[in-house]
Amino acid sequence: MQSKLLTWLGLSFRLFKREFGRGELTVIALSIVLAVSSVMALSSLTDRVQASILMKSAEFLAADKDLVSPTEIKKEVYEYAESLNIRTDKHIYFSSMAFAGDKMNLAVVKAVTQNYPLRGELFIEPLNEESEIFKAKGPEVGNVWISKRLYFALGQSSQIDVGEGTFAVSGIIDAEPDAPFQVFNSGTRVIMNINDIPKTEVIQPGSRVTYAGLFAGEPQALEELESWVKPQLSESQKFRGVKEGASNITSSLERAESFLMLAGVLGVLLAAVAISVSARLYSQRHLDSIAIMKTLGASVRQVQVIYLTQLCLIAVVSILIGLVVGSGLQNIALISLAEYLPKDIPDIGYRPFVVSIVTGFVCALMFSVPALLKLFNVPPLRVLRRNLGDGVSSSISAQAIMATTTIGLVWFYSQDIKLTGIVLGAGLVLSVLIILVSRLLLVACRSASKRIDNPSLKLAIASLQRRSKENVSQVIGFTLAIMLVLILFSLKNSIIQEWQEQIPQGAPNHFIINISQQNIEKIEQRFSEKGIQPEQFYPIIRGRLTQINDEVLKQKRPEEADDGAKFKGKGEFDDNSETANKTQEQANKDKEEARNRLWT
Amino acid sequence: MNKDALPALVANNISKTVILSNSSSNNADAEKKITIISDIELSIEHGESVAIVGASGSGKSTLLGLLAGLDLPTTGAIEFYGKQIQILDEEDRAAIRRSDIGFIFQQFLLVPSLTALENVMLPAELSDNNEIRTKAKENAQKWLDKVGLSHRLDHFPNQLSGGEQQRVAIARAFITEPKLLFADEPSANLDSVNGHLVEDLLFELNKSANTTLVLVTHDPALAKRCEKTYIIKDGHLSLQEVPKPKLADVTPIQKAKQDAK
Repeated sequence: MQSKLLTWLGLSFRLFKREFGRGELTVIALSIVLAVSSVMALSSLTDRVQASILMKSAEFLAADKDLVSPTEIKKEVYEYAESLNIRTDKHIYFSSMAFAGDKMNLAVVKAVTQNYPLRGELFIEPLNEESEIFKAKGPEVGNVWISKRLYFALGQSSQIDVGEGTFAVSGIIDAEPDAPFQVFNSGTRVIMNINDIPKTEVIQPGSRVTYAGLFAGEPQALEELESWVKPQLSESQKFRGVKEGASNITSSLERAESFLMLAGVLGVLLAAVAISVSARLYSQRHLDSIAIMKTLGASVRQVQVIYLTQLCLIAVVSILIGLVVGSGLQNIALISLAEYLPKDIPDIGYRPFVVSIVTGFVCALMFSVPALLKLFNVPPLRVLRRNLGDGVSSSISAQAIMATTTIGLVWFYSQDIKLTGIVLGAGLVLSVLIILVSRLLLVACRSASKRIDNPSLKLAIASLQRRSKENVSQVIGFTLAIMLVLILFSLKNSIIQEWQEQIPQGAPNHFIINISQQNIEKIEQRFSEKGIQPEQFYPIIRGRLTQINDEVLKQKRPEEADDGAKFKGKGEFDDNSETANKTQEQANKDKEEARNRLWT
Repeated sequence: MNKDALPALVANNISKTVILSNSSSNNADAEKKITIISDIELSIEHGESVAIVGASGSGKSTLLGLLAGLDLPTTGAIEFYGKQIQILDEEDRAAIRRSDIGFIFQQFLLVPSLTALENVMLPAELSDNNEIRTKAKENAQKWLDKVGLSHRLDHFPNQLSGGEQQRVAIARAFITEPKLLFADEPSANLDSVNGHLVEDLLFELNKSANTTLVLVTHDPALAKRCEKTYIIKDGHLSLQEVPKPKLADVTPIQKAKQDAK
């Protein structure tokens, strides 16, 4: 026994097999491949680059998220995070004198758990120079790792005192993922086990200590933790993520993504025009077949199953090909951009696949279904009255469906209502213009054809007039695609210009800091050997700007300018700047002014 | 009640009027009503072969469309084995066509992207009857063999001659063993040899399957081969009061097969 549906599917597959490779279905398939592959390539490229930058940023934080607090963080926070399968780490930052025999030096102490680092890698160089540098987690109780500079400052001692505690120096920090960018005070770092803190007796009421809770895990779990933690935070506590830390880069990337996706719309729009034209031709050619089937007793449902299955088969096959082609293009793009990108690029996430598959199905269905719907309504009587159901021209509702889908796609890719509005407005104006101009041309042709003797030309003009609606809608489609190219061109220029304006011309890409006076010559020599022309060597002193060109600077550093360094004990010496009192807005304005002045 | 005891098809006072509108004019008076057929009375018994004869434009095809449930009358009623079909919607009328009606057309009307075998299988595959669906291929081969085309199973319509295409259409009409068969000018598009061959086949198979046949033609000679002849003129139908003609000699099927080879 064979079920009805299976029989119909079999019939559909037979028709598909015969039709595929000839004419309209191939155009539809190629159009879907174009749309899917362009969207797949562009979205996966931007996604992967963005993810890789975020991952790199996570290494700088040594976690995905951190909670920075001047007071101890409640253990419930860690318990809740662990219940969400989030890995945790606790840090305490403070500054203290480190002693070794008669030598002493101010050290920036970071106490960590043995989970440290959650992201990135910590490398330790053993004191015994013969041993190799090894990758490590947090130090064990009773042991510390210190920076090379501190090691030498303390006379290469294998034992140091911090507060009341004595610790074995079991290694020198070679690379620390969340190393602070310390221009003035680099390299006096001590990393100790958090359980050794009581031993030091350094933390007293009123001590300047910063606590940090670090978290790493799945994005969804982290989001859940964030939404749970944030309402409980006091004003002095901050819950931060990688994105916040790298906001400039990510917002630039998001803009680039919007731009690239808009370029993807171009591919989709061209595909849409081709699909709708092909679907109409396909429908026109199948009017008789459907009328025959209906005469033989096929119900509308049977016809729908038979023909929509074909469309779905085309969509599925084309989407699969599109995904493969898109991934290939994306890989080629990554290879050609390898020089400018981090080495470890994360794998493609699910998002580009979802976006591309949705695009493929939306293109296949929304732009061909209007023509197919007409096809399904062909009356069986067409077998006797041969012209019945002719003229599968797009109805107003079908055109509305296609226009709405196009607008939806532009918004979906650009995520920008203003841009969508511009594209829509320009599209409407253009459409009206095209309709008016083509009407005028048709009228002119009609009157001209009366005076023409050439029968072929007369026939061509008559054919143009008979299919005026279809012709105009095709012209509108292609004009919109050209319009999009022009919008992309002007957007590209403005985005590049915007980026260029962010950094002054000739700004250096790399800095070298902490060069001692006696080393300058050697370094200059090294640079000239390598053919690099350094701009200039500047002496650096610590100080505070109080006045620029007669203008007295305000005292408070805005909260926003605080990149967390101060919080995490990375800038302990950058003190006494928190006295004045003014609004955030004013602070930002001052910062901007100061920056402008410094650059000019 | 035995369904077969009922007349196969009854038309009670049916008329068909269409409104022609001039799309280039906004004037409502530009609409014009045309009555294509009017006051048609007709009764066809089960197993009977009936010809409807008329000149071009007389309303033959319109009447065929109405009787086959492809179109609806403006007034009047059509009964198919006692069931009024003008009150049914298109889906219900399609269900009747699917199970009980076969068609043969002047232009053959095969699906171009299906082979001869698949074209014959088509009505069986659309059928609601499980057995017919399951045996679609087997029966299609059988019927193609009956019409002498067992060697053309995998040929597409464009690879077949007109006569062969019409024979495929005949096989397609019979595969679901319909109660009623409509044939619209079945030999009009064929040369006389192929035309007669197709006519002979049609009558022979019709006779052996005991199917009710409604044949629409402009050819009085072909009409004579039916048991009853109706004449349609200017949209009015009348029964031809002539003695029941004898069926012409039919071409033996073996000869048809031979000709085809």
